[in-house]
Amino acid sequence: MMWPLSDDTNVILLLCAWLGAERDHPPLTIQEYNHLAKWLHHKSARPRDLMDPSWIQTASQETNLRHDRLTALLGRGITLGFYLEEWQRRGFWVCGRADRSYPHRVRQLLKSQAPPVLFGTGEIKLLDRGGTAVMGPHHVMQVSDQQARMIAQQCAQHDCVTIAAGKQSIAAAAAESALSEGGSLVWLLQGPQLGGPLGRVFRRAKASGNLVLLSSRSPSDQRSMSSEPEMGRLLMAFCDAAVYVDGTEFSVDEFCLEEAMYESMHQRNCFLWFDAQATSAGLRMHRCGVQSWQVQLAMDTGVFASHPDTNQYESLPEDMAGPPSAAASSTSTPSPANTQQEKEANAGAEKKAPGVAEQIQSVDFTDIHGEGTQLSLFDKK
Amino acid sequence: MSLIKNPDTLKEVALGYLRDSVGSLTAKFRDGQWDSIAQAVRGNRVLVVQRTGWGKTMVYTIATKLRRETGAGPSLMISPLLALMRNQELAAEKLGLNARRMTGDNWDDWKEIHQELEEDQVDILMITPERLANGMFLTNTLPMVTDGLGMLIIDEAHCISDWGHDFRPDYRRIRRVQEMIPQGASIVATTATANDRVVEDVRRQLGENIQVTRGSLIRRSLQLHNFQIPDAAARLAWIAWAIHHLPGSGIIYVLTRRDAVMVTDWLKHKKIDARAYFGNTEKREELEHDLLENRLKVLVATIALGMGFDKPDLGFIIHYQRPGSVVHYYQQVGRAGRGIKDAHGFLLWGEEDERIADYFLDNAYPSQEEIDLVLEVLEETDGGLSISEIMSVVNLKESRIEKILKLASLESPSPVVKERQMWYATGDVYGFQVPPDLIDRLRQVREREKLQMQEYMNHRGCLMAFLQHALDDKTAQDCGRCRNCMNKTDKPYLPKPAQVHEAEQFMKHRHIAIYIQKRWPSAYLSDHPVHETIAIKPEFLASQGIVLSRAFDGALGDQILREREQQSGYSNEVIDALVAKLEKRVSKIGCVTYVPPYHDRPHVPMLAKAVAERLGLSLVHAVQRTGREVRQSSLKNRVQRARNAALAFVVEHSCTEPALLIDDLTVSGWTLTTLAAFLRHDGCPKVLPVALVQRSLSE
Repeated sequence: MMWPLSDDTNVILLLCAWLGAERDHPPLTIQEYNHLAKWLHHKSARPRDLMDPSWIQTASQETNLRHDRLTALLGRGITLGFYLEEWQRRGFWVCGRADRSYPHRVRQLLKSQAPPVLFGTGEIKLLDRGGTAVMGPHHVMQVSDQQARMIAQQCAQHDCVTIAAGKQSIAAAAAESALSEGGSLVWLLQGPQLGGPLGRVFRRAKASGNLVLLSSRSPSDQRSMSSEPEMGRLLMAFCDAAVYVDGTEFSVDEFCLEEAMYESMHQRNCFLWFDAQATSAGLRMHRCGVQSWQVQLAMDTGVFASHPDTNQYESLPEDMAGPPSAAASSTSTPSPANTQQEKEANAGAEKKAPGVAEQIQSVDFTDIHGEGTQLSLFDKK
Repeated sequence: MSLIKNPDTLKEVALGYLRDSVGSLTAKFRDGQWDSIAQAVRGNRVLVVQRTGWGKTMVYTIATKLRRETGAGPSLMISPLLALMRNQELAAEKLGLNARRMTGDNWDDWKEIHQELEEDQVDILMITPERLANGMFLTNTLPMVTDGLGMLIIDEAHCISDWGHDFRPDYRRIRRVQEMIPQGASIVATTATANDRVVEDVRRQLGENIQVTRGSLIRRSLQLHNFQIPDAAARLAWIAWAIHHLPGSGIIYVLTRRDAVMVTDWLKHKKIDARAYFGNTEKREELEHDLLENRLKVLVATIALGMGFDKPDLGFIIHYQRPGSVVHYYQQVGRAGRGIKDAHGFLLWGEEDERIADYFLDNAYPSQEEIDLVLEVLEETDGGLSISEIMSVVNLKESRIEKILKLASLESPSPVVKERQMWYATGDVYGFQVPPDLIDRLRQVREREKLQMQEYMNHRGCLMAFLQHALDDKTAQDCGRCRNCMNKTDKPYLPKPAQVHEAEQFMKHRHIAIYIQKRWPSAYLSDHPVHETIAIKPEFLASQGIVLSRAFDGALGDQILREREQQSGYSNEVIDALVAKLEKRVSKIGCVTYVPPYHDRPHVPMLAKAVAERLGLSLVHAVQRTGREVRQSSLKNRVQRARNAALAFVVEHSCTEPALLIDDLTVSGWTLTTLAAFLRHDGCPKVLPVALVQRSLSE
């Protein structure tokens, strides 16, 4: 993370980061990079070894990644220099999966889904403090915003980090509320959003170590994407508990938050808040076991407790390029346990949510609001 | 790729390109030229310190050519010199390379250049360091280079070092960029003027494995002359005489735009084909071209016509005032005699040089207190502020505020960020300090340069050897050609009294345009109806007025400033000069009024009375001060001055006839502009502003 970047992180950036409008030779996908990382590990090599053309040749032959693509990507050194300077000047940090400062939670919970590089600004240590994710879809009612503010406020009052994703209303409301209340915030954003001017509350929070903004996409990555499931996965990796603040029926869930919640339900306290009428997404969550949000319940289940201890997580998976000491002590063959976890993680990503009709029939609506509120959707049924 | 693997073939091919480029079948590489090319082609880093004309361009154009043939991306060249870029385009063309520049003067071409970049049709892209500061380069231009840049060329690389003679804030970014570039990428840095310390500094920043090529800086064709002519009129007379006797065409270097215009006007008056050239001169390219084609005898230029202007047969360089440093002098005088056997460099200096040098030194860098003032205002704001908005609350000159924001925005991490003309504080604004050692170091360098320049002007030994020693050129020895080597030190030519008198008269009587504003500097200044619109309505505008002299002109302007400090008011000589200038313009004027003084100084009312009497016009005491203002001279920028002027006056008696509005000193023009608007609003059909002396905010 520290400037200047390590040679390994430079190479990972060259391979994986979108610096603008790459066309003929797109950067490696996370799967491609994992494949290459495994190969490097198997060869007892480091990413920086790829700066030697003979390694590119061998890597290309043995990983099926095209030689001209690897050469072109790694030949972006001068271009990268310009962007790195710009990012550093804008106060960003860059953290590669091989860096010691890479958040343990992400490395250990997402494993091979962990982004090869994270970009951010602000206090990186917040990323391993845990906290409560306040999330929701794009389109919400005013009352949803208010609820998001209240939850973030509660977090701040209990010294619990608020975690939000995107700049849409729920996230923006939670972020602003958490900091105004003197709390701490982890805010996941799309790459270019990292560089926007900050309001005074955010500036001051950043200066006092209470804010971190981050993205798995580079600040120069201008691609417009209709779906970014890694945002949802990252959000869940950072939090100990999550509250889904329901929106309107036709809202877009571009970060696949619903799916991310299903994947993490067995490891996280997950809650659902909605107003008088839940959307079909809300109904699906409830049917899948997401609890209805109640402050007291949340407190009883330790939602607002601080979880700074990251030792609860397992040791590093072997297929990921870690710090030299970690890499040296690991072996090249993935352990069965890790493989199983990976399978689960991948299976989670592919898990299809039940159809709306099926859910409506099988959900017990009577207690969904936690206060016995009847749902209008139920009435319609 | 095969070319790179076989060094002999590579050199042969490169030599062929050199010969094609210079149009000679027998041309050979100069010492160090081929080594530099070979290193760059291999993806290494190269620093070339060689005098202008040695062939530095050949190093990176041939290296680019060879790298492009192996499939590498285009080279990016960063140069502060527009003139050089234009020459580069032609040089690259000779090698079949497509060199394109993206500079402020060719916006219309940018779209086409982006298209060419996208299609990999550009071989060398040239930008100024300032272009980097504009986010558009990173967001719009660089992404067009599909597979990345092939080579980075840093021209005037001495600017990377804070120990260089030429500190350019934007080079601080370039320094960091090249530090961030991973090994294995080609970087070629070039300069003609770097001493040992700068070379070491640049070498350290570019990395250990760097190839340095360094050669002699002597220019044998150049005959250097130094002499002191303190009086401005005498210097003008000498220049006019000298140019009539000097063969070929040349450049006169001056320190300020104002002097560029004045000297040009004088030379035109003396029937010499001269044009002025400075930072915002229109058609700079055309002027350069005219000089290149010998359609001009002389270009009178500020430092804006700097390194990079390449005219091999340039016959002479005259310095009207002393430049800031010996290295600047070497660079400027080195424009002459590149392709001819005899050329001359004349360094003149006068009384005003010390004052101008001190001004530049004092104003070069903002203090931490000034930086804090600006940053605090931004921090207190939730959103962003425009420069005008900052000026309205911070009493610093506009250029000072811009310099602070520029310096701050180039620090890393930066405490400020600019988005669409608005400046914002960032999360790194708290406790921000420009590195104190940086400012100290820069001041030390400037102080030392000033002393060295004084030493040079009084030097009795070889002038060329002095310049070479200043740049740590180990090959320095007496040139045998300069004024000192030729033992001519006791025979300076002095212009005849009649010639000096003519120059004095020219300075006294030449037309000077008075500063009158046509737009208010910010949206709200006062409730007065004249301030309703930012563009001043035509019915409230002042007419084009008259000013008698410029401050610090070495003539009448200086006399007026002296009399202004005396109790007795202005002399008859001054009043006569003003009346003489007014007589032709007052046929339709009916009365005289004046700007009431801030204190009870009687100078201006007395002046107005005397002018009214001599012109036979009535004197109207039209305006009163409100007492709500502060002293205008305590305010340092246009927003505060305009607002203060808006508060300061009220019209007590309307002028019903066209009026002369008299003041003694005008600086920014806001007082005259505001009062004219008030008078016209209250019924005056026309207001002609008149002042004795005009001074700029920076003087």
